[in-house]
Amino acid sequence: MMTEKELISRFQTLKQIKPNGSWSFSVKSRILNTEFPVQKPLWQNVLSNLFAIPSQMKMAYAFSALLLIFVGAFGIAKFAGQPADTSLLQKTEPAAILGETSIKTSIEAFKAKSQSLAMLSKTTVDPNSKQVAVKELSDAAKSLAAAVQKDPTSAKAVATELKQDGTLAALADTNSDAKETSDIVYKPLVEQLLKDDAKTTPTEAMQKTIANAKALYDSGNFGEALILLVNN
Amino acid sequence: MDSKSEQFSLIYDQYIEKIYRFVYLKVNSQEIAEDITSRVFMKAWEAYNKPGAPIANMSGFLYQISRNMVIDHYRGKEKARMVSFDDVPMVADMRTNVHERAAISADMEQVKLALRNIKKDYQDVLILHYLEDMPVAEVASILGKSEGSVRVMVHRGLNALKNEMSQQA
Repeated sequence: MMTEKELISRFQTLKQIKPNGSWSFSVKSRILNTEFPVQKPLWQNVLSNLFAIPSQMKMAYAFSALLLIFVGAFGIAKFAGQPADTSLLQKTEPAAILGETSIKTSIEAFKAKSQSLAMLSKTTVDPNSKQVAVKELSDAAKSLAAAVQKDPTSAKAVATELKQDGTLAALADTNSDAKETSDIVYKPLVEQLLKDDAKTTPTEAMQKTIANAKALYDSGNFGEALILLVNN
Repeated sequence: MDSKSEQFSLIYDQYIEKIYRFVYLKVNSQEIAEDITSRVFMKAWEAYNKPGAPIANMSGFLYQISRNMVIDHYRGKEKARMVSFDDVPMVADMRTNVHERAAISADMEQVKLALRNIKKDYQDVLILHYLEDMPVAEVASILGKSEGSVRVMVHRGLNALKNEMSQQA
């Protein structure tokens, strides 16, 4: 019967099992020549990528950055501390609306001042009040004349408005100062209406009216000439 | 050669015979043992190069990889419906060459055959304790068992081996 010691001794004969020497050496060489990529931290990868950029590209990026900084600094230095430019905003408003508003406002102002002067002429004898009213009417007349000159196509409409409103008739009844003031408006209106009529092909009756209006204009009766043309 | 390569070269020299023998006795084939052993050391080299904490117990680490790879080897064989070492323990490996056969004595051949017929757990404790001269504590650490359990397994393993050899005689 085999003892435990003998059994262990026989078992340990297995220690003779050994690998082939040349195989062992070749495996060792193969393993030690295998390189594994070392995992770098993220910041090291970013830095290494940055340094891997070619020098020409580095110069290009640096120049671009410098250019941006220079343009930014120049812009800040030029516009810093200046008030905001509102002219552009004003320019963007529609000119047609402004012109229309200006004519309407001027007409209303002229009508109001004309009526005031007509009322004063009938109710008071105070010369100062009349002078003030004439002055105000003069300013309103100048404003309306300027508005009509800016937009000549509105001449007919302005003349019609003044006739229908009774302003023409009211001013015809006032004193000579009011007449001279109103002529500031009437004169350019008559000139424009005559120009407009010259562009058309008038009938015989119209031709007579235009001739009469020209005669009145030449004689300095702008109000009467205007009434004649508007009635035409 | 850098310092890491030199260090691993020493480790390789120290363990190559032990690991090869351990694997060979488990798979009973020179070719398969060489393949598994080379993969064990390749995996160990990869782990050795990883940044972080160094491998504290290289011996335990190598045997652990070896055991797992042997298990994977048999699992692969089962999947491929190949002949299993455990199923046919008495069949000798036909790829073992004539020279190798001559080198191994009759006693060795008998012990090898007897070892193949006992339980795998007994194989492990007997190889590690009596062939690799590991203390019980280290065997227990590698196998993940208590020292008491390993002592019992050593005792039972020897009895099982003795019975197998008695049957062959």
